[in-house]
Amino acid sequence: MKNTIKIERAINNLTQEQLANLVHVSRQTINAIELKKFVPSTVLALKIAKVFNKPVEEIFQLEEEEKSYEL
Amino acid sequence: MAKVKYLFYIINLITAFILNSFFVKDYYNLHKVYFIILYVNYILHICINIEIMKSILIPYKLKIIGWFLFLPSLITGIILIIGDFESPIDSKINFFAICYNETFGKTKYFGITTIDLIPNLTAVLFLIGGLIIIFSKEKIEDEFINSIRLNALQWAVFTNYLCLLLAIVFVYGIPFFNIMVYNMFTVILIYIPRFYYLLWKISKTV
Repeated sequence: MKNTIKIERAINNLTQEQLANLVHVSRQTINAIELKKFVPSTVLALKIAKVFNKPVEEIFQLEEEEKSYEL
Repeated sequence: MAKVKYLFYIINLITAFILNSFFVKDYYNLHKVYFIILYVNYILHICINIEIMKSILIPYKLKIIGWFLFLPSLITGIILIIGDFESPIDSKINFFAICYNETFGKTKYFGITTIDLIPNLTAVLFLIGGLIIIFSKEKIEDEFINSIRLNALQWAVFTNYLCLLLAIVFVYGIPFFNIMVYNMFTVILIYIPRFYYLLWKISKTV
């Protein structure tokens, strides 16, 4: 799953630490999400989207290979 | 209701422990069957009432106590291993025991026996300190910290049983029992470095 947290942080002029405090997680968690080492829960994704005032889909998108799962 | 469950859980644990130490050597088959039933009961309790185990983590403030117990006992432990478990100073004392035996004698229950204080105290402080470190929250507890905690615990348990498996297959006699002694502490000894390594690795900003 890709995400645009780093870009959104730059637009809103937030550090990792400040964003982490806004959504009540540790700085390591934000770093891990940005590095694609960790996929956040739906609750955390919604909270992050709320901070940036955007729909979740604009911040978190599926990778190309993840879209092609057969149902 | 939750408190009653806790009480039942603790009583079950103590009963299983006492029965275990009672009948491990004497071959009363009926009592063994009784022990197995109680043990299964105890396992089922952990599995079914898993929702009471969710809040097993203790507050972050206690973590510092864990480190103060863990590090000195780790150093003492290493000194003891180098010296073949002989304590550098004489520390034999009389202590209460549920189950014990005189050297090569018959198994006895509920009495006073002579123990070596320093190795026993080291092991006790090591385990208490290690458990506090493992089961205390981080400063900010969240889902990512939980995921690396799970990863570290999985590796610790896996490595522990892998060592045991290799020891059972390839090591026999007295060296096997020496390995068993180290094996009692491997879960803690692998969990703590693995957890803090993963946390440190992700802390570095790119």
